[in-house]
Amino acid sequence: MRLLRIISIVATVCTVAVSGYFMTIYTSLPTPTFNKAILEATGQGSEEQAKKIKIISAAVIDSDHPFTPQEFYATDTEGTTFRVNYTGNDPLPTLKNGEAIDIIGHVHGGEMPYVHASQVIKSY
Amino acid sequence: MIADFLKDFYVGQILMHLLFGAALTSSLYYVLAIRGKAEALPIARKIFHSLTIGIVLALCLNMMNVMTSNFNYTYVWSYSNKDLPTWYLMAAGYAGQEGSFLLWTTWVALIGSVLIPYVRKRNWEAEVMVFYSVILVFLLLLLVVKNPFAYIWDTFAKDGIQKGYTPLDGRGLNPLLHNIWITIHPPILFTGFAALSVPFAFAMAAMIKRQYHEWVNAVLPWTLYATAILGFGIMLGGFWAYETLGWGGYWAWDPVENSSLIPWLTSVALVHTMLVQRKTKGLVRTNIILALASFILVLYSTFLTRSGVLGDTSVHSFVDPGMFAYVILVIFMSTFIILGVGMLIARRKDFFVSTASFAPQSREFLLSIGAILTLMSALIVLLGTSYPLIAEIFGMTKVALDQGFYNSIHLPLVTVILIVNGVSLVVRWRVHWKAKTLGSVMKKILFPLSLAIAATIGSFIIGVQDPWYIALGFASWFALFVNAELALKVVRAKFSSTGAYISHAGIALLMIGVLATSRYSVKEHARLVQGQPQTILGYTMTYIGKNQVEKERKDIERYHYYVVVQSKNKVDTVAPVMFWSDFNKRQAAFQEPGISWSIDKDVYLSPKILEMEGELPKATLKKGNTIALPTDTSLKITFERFDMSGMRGGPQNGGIRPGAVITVTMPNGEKKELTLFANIAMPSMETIPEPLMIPNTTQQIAFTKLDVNKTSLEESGAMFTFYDTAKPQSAPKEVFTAEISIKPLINLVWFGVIAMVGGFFVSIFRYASKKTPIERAENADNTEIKEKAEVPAEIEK
Repeated sequence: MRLLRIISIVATVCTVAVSGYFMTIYTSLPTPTFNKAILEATGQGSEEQAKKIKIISAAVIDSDHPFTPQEFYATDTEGTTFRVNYTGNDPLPTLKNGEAIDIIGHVHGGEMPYVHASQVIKSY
Repeated sequence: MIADFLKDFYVGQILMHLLFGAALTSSLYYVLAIRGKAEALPIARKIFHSLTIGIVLALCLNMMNVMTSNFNYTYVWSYSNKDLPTWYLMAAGYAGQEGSFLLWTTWVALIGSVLIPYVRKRNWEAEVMVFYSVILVFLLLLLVVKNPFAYIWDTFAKDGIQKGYTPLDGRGLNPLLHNIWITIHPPILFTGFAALSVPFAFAMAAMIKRQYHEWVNAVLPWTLYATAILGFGIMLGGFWAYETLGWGGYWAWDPVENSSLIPWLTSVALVHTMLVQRKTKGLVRTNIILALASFILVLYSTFLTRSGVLGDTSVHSFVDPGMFAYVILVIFMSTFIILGVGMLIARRKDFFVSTASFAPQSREFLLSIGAILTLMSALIVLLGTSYPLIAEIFGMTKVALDQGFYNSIHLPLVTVILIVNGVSLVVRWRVHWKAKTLGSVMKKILFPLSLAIAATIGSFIIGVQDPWYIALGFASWFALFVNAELALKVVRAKFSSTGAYISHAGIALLMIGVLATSRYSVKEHARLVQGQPQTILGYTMTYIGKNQVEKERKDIERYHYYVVVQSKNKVDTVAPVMFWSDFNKRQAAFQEPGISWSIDKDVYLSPKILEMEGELPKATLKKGNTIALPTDTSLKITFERFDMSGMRGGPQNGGIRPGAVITVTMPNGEKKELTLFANIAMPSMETIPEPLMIPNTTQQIAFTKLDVNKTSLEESGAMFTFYDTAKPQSAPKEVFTAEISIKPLINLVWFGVIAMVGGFFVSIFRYASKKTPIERAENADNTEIKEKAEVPAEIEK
């Protein structure tokens, strides 16, 4: 019994450690530009879930690009301006024009491609 | 009239409150029975049976509301509509949060009513049923809060909905759920969840009674039943994903899939540790902890999938149930954790009574190792599934883990589990520490080991050459051959003893199937031009056309796309499906795969898009836009405005007839205004244009699509199609784009799971009536348990 107890403890510690290590490997999100994300999504297989990505961008808020709690516009590092549809659990932070943000979500193609975001984080 | 009565007196809602009160009363009477008031027991029992009848009545009432499309109820309005066929209406009865809670509660109540005579016969009724009733108390409290009988005017009172308002139609059922599997998968899965309440209640009762061995024998058939049913439910979900939802695979490590897998893994471990306790009286505390954990993990899974906490990390749809329901889910889970842990602490001294000692070369030791490995798998899945929560707590990016996380760790883990399984079956129970068993074990595994090596070499020759896959393949073959050999040895003498071997062999086959499909599937994107055969992945494929089906339904537009799949010795026609539904305002197509089934592999076609090749040039213009004609650049057209005069008179021939006014600028600068009309059929939105010739030219132009911008009508556009009559074109052809994949040995996955579940059921019959060797020894008043318990390894598992 003592041997089994030792094995159980070692197994638990190893499982948590190995899981922790693999979590660091399998959680780093790819950071493509908007156009690259659309391109990749087009070639994605049906068995794959819509791939979660992080688009490093800046908020665009002006008369042509209004900001609402559900929808706003952003521009990526290539200068492409795109629409962001936000459906995350937390309220969208108040953004200023040009403010640097990380948009986490997945892209939708079609005639009017956009990002379906679950998180918008201000990057400092 | 009945509906009016129900509506006026809030019968459904009152019923849920009464049932909650009845569950509470039943629990209190069972408490009194435990405290020695014998007269309380029959009262508690009667209340429990009445409670079951009441809950079944509530389920029927909800079903009646859905079947009669009584949109006074928020639930009915939210999950059904008048166009749903009967089968889907039935499924709508449990497709939403409230309905599924009601279904789960019904199963718990029905199983409880069956359980009462079983525990009564064993004199465990009060102790078991008190905890069982408390489970119902919490489930019914959830139903009081998430009430399926809430009225639409109460739910939307803030929006000014008046009492008595009845919507004309409901929102409908998510089209992804429109298939036969919705009628089978959830009820079976919830049966498994409900059945896992039984080991929990027994474990708690064992601690109340301080009787730590009898409960294992009594609850083993129930645990086997719960594990079998839950495993079957999980498999049906996988088959649904593969066969209908078009996700390409059967398992995606999605939080919803994982949440039912975790309690299943712990219950599998529990079954094995219970077998050890039956034989040795060891692992007393382990079994109690695992029985508690399996049920608590069901609650944790419910919390993960129903509280909305993983809402943006899963392909499944999660609905935020509201703060009150969220709090009740947390209290539900916390209460049972506190109850279980509290009892374990209170009885901690009792658990040091066991003097069992497991030699490393004994079966009980290897079974325990197998259970530890299975629990490691459960812990990995638990940590992985909870990762978004953990990440959120630590302020990291909330993201679901990639499938690679689970696959990478499970590849070596499952390999070891299968090898331990094979070896554990050929060693004996209760051998001495100093016993030399290596020789006899080697002798017993020599034949299956030789076959496994041969099969691994064969697999290597046909292409299985990655080291980890070779290892997993070898372990699977080894476990398969060991179990098959043992099953063949005992099948004639005692069929009921083959259950474990059948289950293990099923898991080995499942893993061979998983290995083949996950690593050796091939896929290719193909554009299939109508009527033109193409060779793809060794098959000749020809798209032959589409056909609209279920035309009677107004809420969806559904097409079958027929593709002939031809190999050297087989010709098959598959029909992938794409459909558009009012559910998502027809914004994106829903897709279902077409599968050409065969014994050794499936050809799997996931539809992507249907386009036209050789189509006439098109352009979409907004008001004021000017372009050169694609078919004659010397002419220019400007889209001026819409002409809605054709729509004022109402629908024409079952549709509408908008017009688009354009100005054509001729090469000499002359301008001509033309009005082009399009007939749009409703509700299919199929457009039949009325093309016009541009005077004094060979150019024809047609208004072919209204491109509506709902937020700004000024931004709406019109699509035009251009045709030069002087240059006739061949008729346009349909081009069907699909992702085509070959899935080798996929049938082993299905067959393996069926064998595994079948084996569980064989074992249920075996253990439902059997006494343990210890009991037999005690009955014979023989204290030499060891001698009595020593039975041939081939017969006793």
